[in-house]
Amino acid sequence: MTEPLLEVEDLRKYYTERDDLIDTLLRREPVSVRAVDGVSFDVQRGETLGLVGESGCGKSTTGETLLRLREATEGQVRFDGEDVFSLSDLGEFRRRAGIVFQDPYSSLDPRMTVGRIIQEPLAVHDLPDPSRVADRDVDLAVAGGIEATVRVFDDAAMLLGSDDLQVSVEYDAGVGPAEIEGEYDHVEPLDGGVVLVDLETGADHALDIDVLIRARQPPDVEVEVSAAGSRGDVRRRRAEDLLERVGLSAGQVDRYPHEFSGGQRQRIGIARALALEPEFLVLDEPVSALDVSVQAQILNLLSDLQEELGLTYLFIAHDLSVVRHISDRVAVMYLGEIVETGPVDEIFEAPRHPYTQALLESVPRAETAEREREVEALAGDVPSPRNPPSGCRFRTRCPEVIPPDDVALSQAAYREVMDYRERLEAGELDPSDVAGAGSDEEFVVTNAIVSELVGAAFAADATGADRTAIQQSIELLGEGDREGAVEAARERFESVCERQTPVLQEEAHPAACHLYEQPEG
Amino acid sequence: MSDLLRVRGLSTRFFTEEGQVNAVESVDFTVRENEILGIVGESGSGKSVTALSIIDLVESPGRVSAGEVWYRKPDLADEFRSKRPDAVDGDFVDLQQLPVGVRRSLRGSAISTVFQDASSSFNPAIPVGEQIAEAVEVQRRARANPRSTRSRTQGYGLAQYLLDGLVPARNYTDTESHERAIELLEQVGIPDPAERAEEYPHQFSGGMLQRAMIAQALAGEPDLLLADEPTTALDVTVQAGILELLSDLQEETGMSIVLITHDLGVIARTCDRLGVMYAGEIVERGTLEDVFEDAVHPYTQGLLGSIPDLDDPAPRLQPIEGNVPDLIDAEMANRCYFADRCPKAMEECLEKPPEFDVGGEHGAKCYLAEHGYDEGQALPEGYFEEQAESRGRQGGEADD
Repeated sequence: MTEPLLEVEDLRKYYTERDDLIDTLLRREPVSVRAVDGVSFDVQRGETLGLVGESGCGKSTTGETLLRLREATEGQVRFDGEDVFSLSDLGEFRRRAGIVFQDPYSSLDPRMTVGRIIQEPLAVHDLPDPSRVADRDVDLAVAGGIEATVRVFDDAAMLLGSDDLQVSVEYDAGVGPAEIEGEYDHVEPLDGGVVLVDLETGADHALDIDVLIRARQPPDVEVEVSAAGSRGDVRRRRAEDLLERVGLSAGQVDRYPHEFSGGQRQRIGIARALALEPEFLVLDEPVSALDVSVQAQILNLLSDLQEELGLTYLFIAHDLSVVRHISDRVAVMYLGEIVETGPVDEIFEAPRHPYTQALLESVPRAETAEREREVEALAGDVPSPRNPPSGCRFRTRCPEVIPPDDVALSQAAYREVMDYRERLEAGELDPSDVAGAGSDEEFVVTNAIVSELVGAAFAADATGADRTAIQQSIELLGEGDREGAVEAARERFESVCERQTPVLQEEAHPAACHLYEQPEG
Repeated sequence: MSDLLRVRGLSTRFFTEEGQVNAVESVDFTVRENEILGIVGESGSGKSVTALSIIDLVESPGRVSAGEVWYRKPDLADEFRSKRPDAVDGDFVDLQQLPVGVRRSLRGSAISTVFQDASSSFNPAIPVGEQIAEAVEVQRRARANPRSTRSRTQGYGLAQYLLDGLVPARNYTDTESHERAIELLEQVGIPDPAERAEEYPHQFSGGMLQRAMIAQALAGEPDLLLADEPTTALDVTVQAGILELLSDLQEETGMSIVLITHDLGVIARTCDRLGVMYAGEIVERGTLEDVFEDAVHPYTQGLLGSIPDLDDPAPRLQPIEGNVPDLIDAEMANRCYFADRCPKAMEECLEKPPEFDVGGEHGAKCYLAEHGYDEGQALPEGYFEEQAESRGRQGGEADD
C-alpha cells in the first residue's frame, strides 16, 4: 500500500480541571480528564475511515485535535508525510484538510448569506491569488531565439476560482515576435510584447506553455495568469458552483440560513468545506441531527463527492448502521482509546472486542424479527475519564472478564465478585453494611450475613477457595478492616484485565483485549 | 383485548406569526389494554404534539381545535353520565369535554408521560428521590381527596414563597412517600436506590436519569404511559436497557404504553402495532408485520428504504427526495401531503385520500391501497415546483 494520507500516532488530549490560581493557592491537586488517551490510526488516500463510539468516548475531540483545532497534549499527526503539530504556517494544511460539523444550525452564521458563508474560507485564505499560480523559466540556450517555459500550477483553477484562465506573457517590446508552441484554444500574440493564451483546464495536472521569443538578448519576461472578472465575482461564481454541486440551486446564493431546512443547511456546510478543494475531510457526525430520509440524501451526496473529487474522509459517528454504510475501515473507540480496528465487513460480521460485540448487539434493527432477538444489555455506566479503570478500560462492564486460572466461578458470579470489589475499593461499602443494625453479638450476625451475602447476593456456585476468599473479605470488612478486605479479595480474584493494559496487535484487524494474544512485554 | 383509549379526529393547530400551523390533522387511533403502540415519524410530523394533545398539555399558541379523546374510566363515566351525557359513551369518557379540574386529576394517575430530555425535566436543585416522592405525594393526596389537585408544583406564587420563607423546614413529602420513591427507583433498575435517592440530577448518568424519570411517571400507577422519544438522547448500549425496562414494566404492571419515536428499530424492538405519521396525519397503520413487510404508502416504503441496514448494507440508499412541508395552513392544499415527494403521485392525489382498509388492521391513506399505480394518471414532472412558483408569483402580486 502507498503511504497513508494521514497518520495519527499516540494522540492524547487531556483537559485539566482545578488548575487556576485559586486552586493553586488552596493547594488542590489538578485533575486531568483524559478525553483522548493514546490513539493511533492511519487513513489511506481515497478511503473512508469510520470512527465510532458512544458519547463521551473522545471521537469528536480526536477529529478536532488532529486538525489542530484544539492543541494536542501529546502525540504526532502526519498529513501527507508532514508533521502537522510542528507546522508554523497552517495555511496550506487548512486548505487541504477541512471539517463538516454536526449541528447544521449552530455552525452557520445566521447573519451571513449562504454565498458569504461559502466564500468565507476563500476570503480567509485570500483567494483567488494570482501571484501563486504560475512560474516561468527562461532558457537562453536555444538557437535562433529564447525559449521561456511558463508553468501553470495544477491548483490554478482552484486558486483563481475559475476553470477559464488566461495566461499573459509579457516581455520587452522590440526584441522580436513570439510564438507559442502547442495547441491551445486561443492564442493571441499582441503588439508590444504581450502574448495571451486562453486556457480551459480541468487543471488536474501542472501545465507547461512554451513560448519562443525570437530575440538575441534575454528579454525580461513577466507572466500573469488571470481569470475573468473581479475577485468578488470569482468568489461568488465559485459559491454558486458549489451550491449546485451539493444539490442546491445557484439562485439560493443570497438567502440566509434560516430559510433552509436542516438537510439543506448540512449541504451548505459541506459546500463550505469544499470551497478550498480539500483532499481530506473530517466529517463530525454530519448526519446525526437529520431525519432518516434526509440523512440518506446526505450520505449519498458524500459518497458521490468522494468519488468525483477523490476525497479522503474521517467519518465520526455514533450510529453504527451509518458507519457501516459509508466506511471502508472502522475504528471503535471506548473511553478515549481505540479498542478495535479493521475492515468494515470484518468489524461488523466478526467483531472481536467484547465492547464492539455489545455495541452491535444493542442496535435495534428495523425488522419484524427484532422482537425475538436476544439482546444482552451492557451493565453499568461508562466510567469517568477523570479516573479511568486500570488495565482494560472496558473491564468494569465487560461480560467476558478473564478470571485467574484457578478461580472456578461462572462469568455471572465472577462479575458479581468484581462489582463487589469495585464498590469496596471505591469506598462505597463500609462495615455497617455487613455488621447489621446495632447487634450485640456482632460476630455471629456478621457470620450469618456473610453466609447470606455469599449465598444470595453472590451466585451459588462459589465453592472452595473462592467462597473462602469472599467470606474472608466480608468478615474483614465487618471488622472494620477495609484495606484488609480489599487485599483479601484482590489476592484471589485479580484479573489480567485489571493488571495489564491490552494493546492493538500489529495486524489488519486488531483488538485491544486479553482474550486475544497480546504482544510480549 | 379491550380498548383503553380511542382518539378520534384529533386536530391541533398552532397560531403563529407565520400563520396557522396544522401540527396534527384529524388523527384517529386506538390504544388497547396491555399493549405497546408505536407512533413513528420524522421531526415535525406531529407525533409529539399528538401526545401532548391527549393529556391536554399543548401550550399557547397551540390549541386542540377538534377531536375526541375517549378514555376508559368507568367511575368517571358513571359520575358524568347524567351531568354530561355527550361526554360519556359506555365506560368511556371524552377527556376533551370534561372539566379542566377532572382532566388535570387524570394526569399522572391515569395517563403519565416520559419525555426525551430527562436532564431538563428534573429540577437540578432538588434531590432526585425528593422529586419522585413529590409525585407520589401528589397522587396520594389526590386519592385521599379526589377534588383536590393542588400540589406544590402548582403553588409557586407569592404566598407560597412567603410561607416557605417563614417555615423553612416545611416538607411537602413524608417518609412514606420517600419509601415509595425508593421502591420505584428499585423497580426501574437503579442500584442502591436508597443512596441514589439522596443524590441530585447532575450526579446521575443520562441512562440513570431516564430511569428515574420513568420511576416518577410510575408514581401514580397510571394505566397509560406516553413515552415521547424516551431513548433518543441515549447511547445504544444504554438504550437497549431502557427499552427492555419499558417492555418489562409493561408486562409487570399491565399498563399500556404509547411509544413515540423516529427510530423504526426502536419500534421493531418494542411494539405490536404502530402508526406512521407524516405532516400531521397517520398515513399508515397496522401490525409490525403489516407495516414492515407489506408497506403500502410510498412514504412508509421510503422511510424503510432510507435506513442503512446494519447487517446487509446496500451499496446505495434510497432516500425520499425533497423536504417535510411546513404545515402552514395557507400553503397546504387539500391534497395528499406526500404527493410532492412521492415517486408515484397521480392526478387523484390532488384530492385528499381517505384511509383505505388493506386487510386486518392494516390501513393506509393512499390511493395505491385501493388500486395499483396507473402510469397514465401520473402527474407531469415538476408539477409541484410549477405550482409553488405560480403561488409565489401570486403572493408577490398580492404584496404589491
